Amino acid sequence: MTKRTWWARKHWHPSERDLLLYVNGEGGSKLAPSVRDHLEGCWSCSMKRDRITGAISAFMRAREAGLDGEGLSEGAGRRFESKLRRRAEKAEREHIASKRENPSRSRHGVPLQAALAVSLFAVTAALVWLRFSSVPSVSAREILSRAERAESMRIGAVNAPVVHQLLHVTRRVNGLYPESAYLETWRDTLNNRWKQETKEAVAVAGGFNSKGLGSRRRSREGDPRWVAELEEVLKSNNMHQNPMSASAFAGWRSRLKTPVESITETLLENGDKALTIATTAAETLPKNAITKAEFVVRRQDWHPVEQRLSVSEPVGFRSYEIRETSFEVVALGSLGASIFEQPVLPAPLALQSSSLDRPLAAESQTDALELEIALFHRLHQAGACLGEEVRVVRGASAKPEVRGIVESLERKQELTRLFAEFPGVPVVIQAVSGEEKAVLAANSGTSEAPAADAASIGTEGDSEPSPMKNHLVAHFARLDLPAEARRPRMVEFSNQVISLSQSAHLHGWALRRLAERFNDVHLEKLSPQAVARFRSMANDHLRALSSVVGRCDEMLRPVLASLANAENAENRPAEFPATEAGNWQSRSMRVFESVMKADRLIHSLFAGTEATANLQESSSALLVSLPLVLEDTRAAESKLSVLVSVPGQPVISAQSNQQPTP
Amino acid sequence: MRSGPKQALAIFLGSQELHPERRGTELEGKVSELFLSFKLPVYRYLLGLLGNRDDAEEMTQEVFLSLYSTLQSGTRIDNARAWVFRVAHNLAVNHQKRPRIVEALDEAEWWRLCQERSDPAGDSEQRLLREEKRTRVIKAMECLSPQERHCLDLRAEGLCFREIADVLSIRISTVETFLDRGIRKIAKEIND
Repeated sequence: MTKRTWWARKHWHPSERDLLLYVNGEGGSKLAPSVRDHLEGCWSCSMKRDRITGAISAFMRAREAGLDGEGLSEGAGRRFESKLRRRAEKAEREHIASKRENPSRSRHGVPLQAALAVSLFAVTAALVWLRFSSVPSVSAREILSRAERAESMRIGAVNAPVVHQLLHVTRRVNGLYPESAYLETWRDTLNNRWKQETKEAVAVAGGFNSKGLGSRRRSREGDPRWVAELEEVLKSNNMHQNPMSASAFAGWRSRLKTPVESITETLLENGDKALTIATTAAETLPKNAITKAEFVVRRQDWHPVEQRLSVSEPVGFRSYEIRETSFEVVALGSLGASIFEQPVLPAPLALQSSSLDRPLAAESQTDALELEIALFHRLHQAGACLGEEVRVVRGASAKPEVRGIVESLERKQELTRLFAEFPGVPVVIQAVSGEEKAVLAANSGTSEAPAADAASIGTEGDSEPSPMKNHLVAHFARLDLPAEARRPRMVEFSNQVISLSQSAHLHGWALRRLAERFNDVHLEKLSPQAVARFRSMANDHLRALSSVVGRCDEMLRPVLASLANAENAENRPAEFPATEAGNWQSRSMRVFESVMKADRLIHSLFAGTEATANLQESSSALLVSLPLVLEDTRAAESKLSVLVSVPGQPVISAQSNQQPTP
Repeated sequence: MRSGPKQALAIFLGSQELHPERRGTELEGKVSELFLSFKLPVYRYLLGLLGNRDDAEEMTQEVFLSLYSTLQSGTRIDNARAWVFRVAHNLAVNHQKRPRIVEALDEAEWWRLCQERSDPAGDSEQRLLREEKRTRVIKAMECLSPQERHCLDLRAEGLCFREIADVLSIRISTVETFLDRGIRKIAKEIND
C-alpha cells in the first residue's frame, strides 16, 4: 500500500449517498462493509446516518398514521375472486370458440370433447357460484327508476305534498378546510314551488391550518358564502330545485355523452345496505359542470341518502358531499299556505340564520340574546316547542320576534297572551283557516296521526298482514290473556310504541333547535339567569328523551328479542366513547341523529310494510339503537352540566309536570 | 398467422412454468395468492396517489386482473411484485391524466386520517411533541416532488431500488437521487 492510498483510506468519509445506500441495504458487498467499519469510528458520519434514519422513521410514522389500518373493504376479496372467475370463464370460452373455428388444432393434445365438458362444467359451477355468492348485477337505470318510483309513491301518499329535506353538505377544496352547512329544502310538488334555506353546520370537522395541527373551527352562523357557489353548481346542472333526488341525478346522467359508470354495494354508517352509482363524465366539461357524481341509494326502501359531486376546476379539485339528515313528505296545509311566500315563517332551522349577524351594538346583542332565551323559554313552558310551528326569529332590525302558525284560534289567543308580558316583541301568530284545517284533517290519516298508523297493524281486514303483525300476534298469543283481549292489547301496544317514538322525535327536534341556535360563545355572554333558563330547557328535553326512550326500550325488548339477531342485539357497536369527544352541541346533534334513527326503525317496523328479511335486521338495529340514544343523552347531559354550570343557581325545570307525549 | 383470442403455449411466473393441463385453475389460484400477498401494499400505494379509497380499491383489483390476463397471454413475469406496482403506478398516472375528477389526498383528509388513529401514548407532552414533529413531516411531504414522493412511497412499501426503478421506468441512480433529495427535505424540516 502506497502512502497516498493509505492516507486516502484513513481520511475517507462515505458520502451522503453512500450512507443512504447503506441504510437502505443497497451498498452491496463492497460498500457496505467499509461504511459499517467507518461508522464505528466516525461520530460525524454516525450522526449523518442517524439523521437519515430519523427522517425515514418520521416519514414512515406520518405515512403509517395516515394509511395504516386503511385496508380494502371486506367484500373486496370476494368481488375480486368473482371478477377473476368471470375473466377466467371468458378466456376459456374464447379459447373453446377459437378451437371450434379450427378444430384440427388441439394444442396440448386434449380431446375436444373433454375440454368442452370441463368448460361447461366450469361455466355451470361458476354460474351457480355467482348466483349464491356474488352481488346480483343491477343497472344504474334500474336503481334510479326504482328510486324514482319509491319517491313518487311516498309523495303520492299525501295530499298536496311538500317534500321537506334537511341535507348536510360538506365542501372540500384542494388545500382548504372542509366546510359544512345544512341545506333545508321544501318542494311543493303540486304547485311546482320550492324554497331553500341554509345554515352553517354547528360542528365542523377539524381542519389543518397553516399554524399547526389540531385547530378546531369555531361554529359560525349565517349563510356560508360557498353555499351560493354550490347553488350555482346545482343550477348549472339543473339540480337546484331538488339537490338529492333520483330524477335530478338521472337528468344529469342522461346529459353526459360518454359516461363511465360503476355500481357498488356499500354499507351506510348505520349499517344499512346501500348501492352506490358512480358516474364519471369522460368528456371535457365547462366550469361548474359536475364531472363525477356518486349517488347512494338505500337498498331497504330505494331512498337516496347521499350524493357526492366533483366539479370541474382548472386547477385542483372541488367536491361536495350531500348527506340527507331527514326526509319527510308533509301536507302543504300542515305547513301553512304562506310558507312559500313568507320564507321566515315556518323555517325551523333557517329562520335564525340570515339576520343574526346584522350589526347590533355589543350590549344590545347580549340583551337581544337574553330576550331570545326568555322567549324560547316561554315557548318551552307553553309546550309550543314540541311540534308546533311557532318560532322565535330575528326580525328586520335583528330583534327577536315570535312568528308562527297554530291550529286553532284558542291556541293563538293563549300564546299571544303568554307573550304579552314582553312589550315591544312583535308576536305574529296565525291560526290555520277552515280550509287549511280541512286539508289537515284529510291528511291526518296519512302523515299526521301515528295512532292510526299503528292501529292499522291490528286491522283484521288487511289483505296482506305485515310480518310484524304476525310476530305480534304470535307474541301476544303466548301471553296469559283471554283470546278476545289479545287484539286490543296488541293495538294498544303498537299505538303506545309509536306515540313514544313520536314524542322522542319532537324532543329531539326541540333539542336540536337549541343546539343550533345557542353556541358556547352565546352562553358565555349570558347572565346566570338566562343560562339557567337555557339549561332547564335543554335538560327537560334530555330527561324527556331518557324517559321516553327508556320506556320504549322496556316495552320493545321482550317483544323483539326473539325476533332480533341475538348476537347483534347484545353486542352494541362501540361507535365512540360515551362522554369524551365533542362539546354539548355536537353531543346534542348526536342525540338527535340517534333519535331519528330509532324513530325511523320504529316506524318502519310498526307502521311500514317491513319485509321478513328486513324485519330481523331492523329489530336488531332497533334494540341496538335505543340504548345508544340513552347513552348519547347521558353524554349530552354531562357536557351540558360542565358547559353552563352556574354556581349557586338552582335549575328551573319548566316542563317538570309536562307529559312526555304531547 | 392465426388471429383470435390469445392463449399462451406456456405460462411462466418467475421461473415456474404452470402445468399446461391444469393451468386454468392453477393460474387463477396463483393470481389469487398474489392478490392476497400484495393487495394491501398496492392499495396503500394507490390510495396515496389517488386519495380516494373507492378508486384505489377498484384499481387494485384491476391490477391483479391485468396480471391474470398478461400471464394468460403467455407473457413471462419475472418479478411479480415489481410488475404489479408498475401496473398500479401506470394505471394511477393515467387516471390522474383524465379531466380533474380525482381528488388528491389533501391536507385536511390526511389530517383526518391521522386523527382517526388513536395515539397509544397517554403522555400529553410527548404527544404534543410528536404531533408537532408530524406536522413538520407532513409539511415536508408537501414539498416533495411527485417523483420523490413515489420513490419514498414505493420504498416504504418494501421495494428495493432496482424494483422502484423498474416501476417508475427510471435508472437506479435516479432513484437514489430522488430518495436522497426526499430524505434531505424531510430531515431538514424535522431538524431545523
